[in-house]
Amino acid sequence: MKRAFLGELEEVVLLTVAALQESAYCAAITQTIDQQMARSISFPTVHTTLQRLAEKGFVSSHMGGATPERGGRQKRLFTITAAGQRALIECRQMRSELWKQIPTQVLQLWSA
Amino acid sequence: METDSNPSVTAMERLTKGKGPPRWAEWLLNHFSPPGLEDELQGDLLEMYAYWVKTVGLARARWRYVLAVLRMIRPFARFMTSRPNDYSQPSTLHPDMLLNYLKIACRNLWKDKFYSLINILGLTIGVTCGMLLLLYVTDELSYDRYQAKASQIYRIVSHITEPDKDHRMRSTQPPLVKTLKQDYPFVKNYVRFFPYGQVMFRQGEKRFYEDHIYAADSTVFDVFSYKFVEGDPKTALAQPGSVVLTQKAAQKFFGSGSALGQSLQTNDTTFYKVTGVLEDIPKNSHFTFNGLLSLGSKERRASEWDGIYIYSYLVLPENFDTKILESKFPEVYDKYMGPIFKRMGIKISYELQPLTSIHLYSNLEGESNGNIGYVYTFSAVAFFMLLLASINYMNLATARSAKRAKEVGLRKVMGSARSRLMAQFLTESVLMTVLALSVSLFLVMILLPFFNSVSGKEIQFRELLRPQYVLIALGIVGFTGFISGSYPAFYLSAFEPATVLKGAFNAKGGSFFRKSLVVAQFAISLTMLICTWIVYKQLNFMRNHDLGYDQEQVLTIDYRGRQPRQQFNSLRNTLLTNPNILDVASASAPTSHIGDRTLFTVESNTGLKEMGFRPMRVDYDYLKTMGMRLVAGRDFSEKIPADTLNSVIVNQATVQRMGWKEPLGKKVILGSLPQPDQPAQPVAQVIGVVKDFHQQSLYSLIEPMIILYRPANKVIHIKIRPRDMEKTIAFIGQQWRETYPDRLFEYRFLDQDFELAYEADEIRSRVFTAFSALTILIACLGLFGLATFTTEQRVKEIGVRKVLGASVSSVVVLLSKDFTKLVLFSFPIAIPIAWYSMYTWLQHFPYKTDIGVWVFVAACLLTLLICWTTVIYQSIKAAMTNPVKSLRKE
Repeated sequence: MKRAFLGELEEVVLLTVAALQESAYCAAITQTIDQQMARSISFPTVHTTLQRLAEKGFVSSHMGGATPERGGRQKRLFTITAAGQRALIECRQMRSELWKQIPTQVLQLWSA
Repeated sequence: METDSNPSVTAMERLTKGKGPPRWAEWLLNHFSPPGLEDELQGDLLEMYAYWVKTVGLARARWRYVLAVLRMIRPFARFMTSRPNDYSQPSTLHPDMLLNYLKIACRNLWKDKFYSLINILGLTIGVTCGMLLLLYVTDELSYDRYQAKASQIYRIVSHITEPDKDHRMRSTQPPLVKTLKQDYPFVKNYVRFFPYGQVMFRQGEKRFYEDHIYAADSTVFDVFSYKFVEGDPKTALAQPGSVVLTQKAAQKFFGSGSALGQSLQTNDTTFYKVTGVLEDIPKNSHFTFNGLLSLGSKERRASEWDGIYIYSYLVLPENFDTKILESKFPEVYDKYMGPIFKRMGIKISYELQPLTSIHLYSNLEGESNGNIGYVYTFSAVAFFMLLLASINYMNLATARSAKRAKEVGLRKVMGSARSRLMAQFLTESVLMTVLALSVSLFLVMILLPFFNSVSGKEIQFRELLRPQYVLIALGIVGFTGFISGSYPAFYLSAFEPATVLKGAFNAKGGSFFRKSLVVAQFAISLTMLICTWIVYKQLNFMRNHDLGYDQEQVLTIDYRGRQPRQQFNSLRNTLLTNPNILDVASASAPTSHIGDRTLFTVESNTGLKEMGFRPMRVDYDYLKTMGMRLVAGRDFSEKIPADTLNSVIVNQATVQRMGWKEPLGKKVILGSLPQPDQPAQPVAQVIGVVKDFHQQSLYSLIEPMIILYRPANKVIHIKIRPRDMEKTIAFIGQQWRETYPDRLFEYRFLDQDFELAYEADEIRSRVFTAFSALTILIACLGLFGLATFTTEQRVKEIGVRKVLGASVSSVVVLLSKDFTKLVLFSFPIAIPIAWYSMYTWLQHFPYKTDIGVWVFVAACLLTLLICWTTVIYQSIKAAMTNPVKSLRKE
């Protein structure tokens, strides 16, 4: 099976979507990345990334949850799809495969 | 979208301290969000804004909000992948669509070759002329702008007020600028040019006359940035006895070798060392010279305040208000020269002319410059030619709309939007213009040398490749393409598919507009025709005007020295032995360049008065040789010895100026009123009044002058018989060389001299004539195309008429009638415009032709005639067609 490639930015956003569970919408995702990863990704970038993830079928979305802070406008809430979950898991597996290949002595040297 | 509730507003305000995101950015987001995303984006961004205010502060939050909005709105937002069930259409400007427009446009061009040809031909003529005229105009506008300090250099103009006369001239007194620099520190630099006119240089045995020689201050190269080929600008004119030549002059003297350090002499004792060679002065300079001498012996006169003969330029700081300096001039005047000129009853004021405006705006005595009026006129002509060509396109495109109505209908049925049809029609017109432009570029390349020789310019083709001209060319394409494409685009794309496909299309729509365009075209053409005619008439009038003396068969030789004293009489006697030589006389100046006014003391009706008159010194036979007529009194005579000192002849203008009833016997003193400490000047009496003759050209009025006697002057006029002219001239040349072995034999005919004065206007009239002819040609091309299409449309009608017994002639009249009406309509529009503009133009001439009604009548008739010849071919063809052929279909 030809796997859809997951870019680093996409991976971060997808992980955040998964972590935020029910309340994953663009503004929340941007703020979470900003706070937790100490990394400033602009709102439009996150928005585009989410669109791209949706096109690839890794997330699905539905409207809902208007709150007063947002002037009563609806949110687009994202949930991770099965394909998205698979992609994340594969991604983590590949990385741990590579981690495992690094000799323990080296890792000790890095004091990791 | 207005779902804002009160609690949300207060929550927002609490979070953002009452300050929301920029209004305009909100508005943008509201109106330009990608479809379907409006709600969530606005909500998300509000939340983000609150978050940003909290984390990075208000200012940055607003900034980020704006950036985010700009990135999210159309057309910058990323294209959403198309939803599968959407009947989406590619954007009007999608590359594929553009290619498609181009392809269809090419096919359409090819399909209707005749129509395309007429259009492209018209556009090509329009664009070619437009480009040439723009080149001309930009060249006129480029004068002196190549100077590095162009915006800081000013020229001083003297405004001289005499009791009864005003002069504005470019000459000033020599010490003026120098004094200004000393007295006012904001004057940064200055330079003066002392005109030497024509100078004979000797280099070994070789002799050369060189025109346009000036002596200049050594600061000249600080002020003006002339390019040096050899030599150092800083020191070039610092030493007395230096000369800087232009490349052209240097080549003449020294060939291709280096001129630097060589020496030239002007007479036996004056030597000049060449210290620099300049690139030739660019043609777009208001002031040109062939050589500059360092200020040497002239410096002695350079401190005198009473002579007004040098050109002064000064450098002021950037963006300096010239009023400040101009307000100081009265002070300077009172301090240095008030007393001198007061005695003469003269008052002088000065003004500053910015360097860059000299060529087009200054029109002073003794200089021939461009004229901003002509720049406007030529720009207008260029604009009108393009407009005319565009009108052709519009007319033809709408006239044959019937042919394309079905196409438009079908495209609309297949789902084409109006914007796409408009893009299609615009592409066609732009493609046509681009084709025309490429042909024109080629034509301009071929025509440029010819245009240069007609217009007296030196424009190179490679100048067309400079960025600003490329921009202009693109501008022309854009202008013409869009102007001419827009009407058909709107008109054709508005067709209702149901109507046109049913076949109920009515081509009459828009015919009023079309007719007005034809009327406009002919109004423009006719205006230009009349104007050209009157310009031509005025030039002809000037050329054939009685100058007050005979121009023909008068040979003029300029001795170019001081005076050919001794040998002149023997030369004259030898020349007169030839039966073909009728008379020989000499004068101090040629009639076309009689010197400036000098001061005389003249007996007026209220006693002796000092006044300026143009002086001229002639010998006994001058009036006879030149064919000048006396209105009263007599000529100088050898038999009356007193004539040599105590007689003068005046012209009618002088008599008029002085208000003399009986001019003969009036007293004239050469110079100012007798001063006690000076030797008395001889007192002369008026012995004759010569009929007014034109001194310069017909551009200037006849000035009052006083003619004095002096034998053997430097300008020699020889009246010869028209037969065997070459032999006679050879004879004169031989005698000349025998008498003056070291003087060149250079002769001119008087009428040649006079022609020169009208050159500038002659050139303009030639350019104007060519372009007005082409304007008419463009209009006719359009008319021809239009006639073709209308006749085609009426083929059936003509067939029926013929079947019912109409004669060929009646059909021809029927078809021509419509167009004749249009042309007739253009008359009342064109005539007043042409009359008014020509009336204004003629005001510049002191001696002018009357406009005359017949010019208008003739021009109108000519236009009608041209129109008929254009239309008649189509009409006759249609009228001769066998009705069987036109009626058999259907």
